[in-house]
Amino acid sequence: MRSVAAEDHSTRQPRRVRLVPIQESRTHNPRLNIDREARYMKTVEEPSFRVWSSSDSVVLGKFLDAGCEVHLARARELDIPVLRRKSGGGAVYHDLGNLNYSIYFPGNLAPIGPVENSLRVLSFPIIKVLEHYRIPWSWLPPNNICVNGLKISGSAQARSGERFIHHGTLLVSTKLDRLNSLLKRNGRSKWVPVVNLSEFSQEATLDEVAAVMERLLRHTILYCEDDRILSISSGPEPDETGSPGEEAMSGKGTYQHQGSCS
Amino acid sequence: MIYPENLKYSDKHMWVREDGTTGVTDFTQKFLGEILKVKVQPAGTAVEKGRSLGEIEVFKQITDLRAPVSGTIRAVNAKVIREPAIINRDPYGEGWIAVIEMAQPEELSELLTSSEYEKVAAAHSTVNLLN
Repeated sequence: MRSVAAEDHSTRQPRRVRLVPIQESRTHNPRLNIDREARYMKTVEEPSFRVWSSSDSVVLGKFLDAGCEVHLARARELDIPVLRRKSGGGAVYHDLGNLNYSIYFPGNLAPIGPVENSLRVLSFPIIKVLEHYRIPWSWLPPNNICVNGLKISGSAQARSGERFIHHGTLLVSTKLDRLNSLLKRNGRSKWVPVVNLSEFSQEATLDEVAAVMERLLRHTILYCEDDRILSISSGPEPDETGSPGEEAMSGKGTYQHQGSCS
Repeated sequence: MIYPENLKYSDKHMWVREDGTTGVTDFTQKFLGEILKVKVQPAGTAVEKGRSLGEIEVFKQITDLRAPVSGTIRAVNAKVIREPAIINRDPYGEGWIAVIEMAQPEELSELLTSSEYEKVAAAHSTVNLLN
């Protein structure tokens, strides 16, 4: 049964809010990128995004123990910094083959709802990029996107007061041998075999994939009522009535599970 | 959802008892899912109403806990630090998180009653993409 409030939003015109690109000088410095994540989360005044990548580094979820997750001797041998981010989740190996995106919400529009659902809904940039390259994907709860049963993307979130960040990774052409030699398999991070997007689309360079992702984020529209996000459209421009187009998605909508990784 | 009438509630989804014992609401624990880690400021730390009391980790998200009242942390529940999922099982009992010695007991009267908080929680449960 629909609630009274749900009835209201079906008859009122939703407010359209665009995701705004963060204006910054690009950097591959991993420390700077992590600092920026924390800073933008605290300071954005409208829903914003950036697409970025870092040079060789390992970044841990806030509460992880580095010794349990990372072969620290190997990291020292390769001169790879082991850093920590503000959000939850596991250990991530970064290099210039790993593309990242972040979406920042100020207090008045921070998504609320079950975490697993928001992880899935806000993974739309990865899903749209994979669909752009015609690569079939599947969702592996709580936060992974897989191709042929192999993980290609993961995501994490942090909420501070009413501010919110969602960020995710996409393996485009990462040095997987290095990743596998640095991350332990028996840490708190759930280890799953991984794959690069370049295996399925040889023309896909990191810069090109980044451009595709930026383009779709720039065209993303949040349909809002008061301080609630009702739906997200990241497809072609909707019609002038402001109604979400066919690409509109919601937690219960377009993005259904397409099987799971084994 | 259960919101005992003998407690007061903040709009940041924390409950507090008259003696300063505090924790997260039933709505919060259901909304967040299994709690994997709890980190609370140590006993003796002064906290301010609405400011950070600590953090919890669920799935892949870190969420901060906002103190429902101002005062000094007098006790932290070591049991939930060791076994955070207790909060999911018993948010108002064994799952209490900390005891705050209130600096301004009158702040209690500014908090929400059970029925008022129920409306806040219900508003967060409807008409939202991410529910």
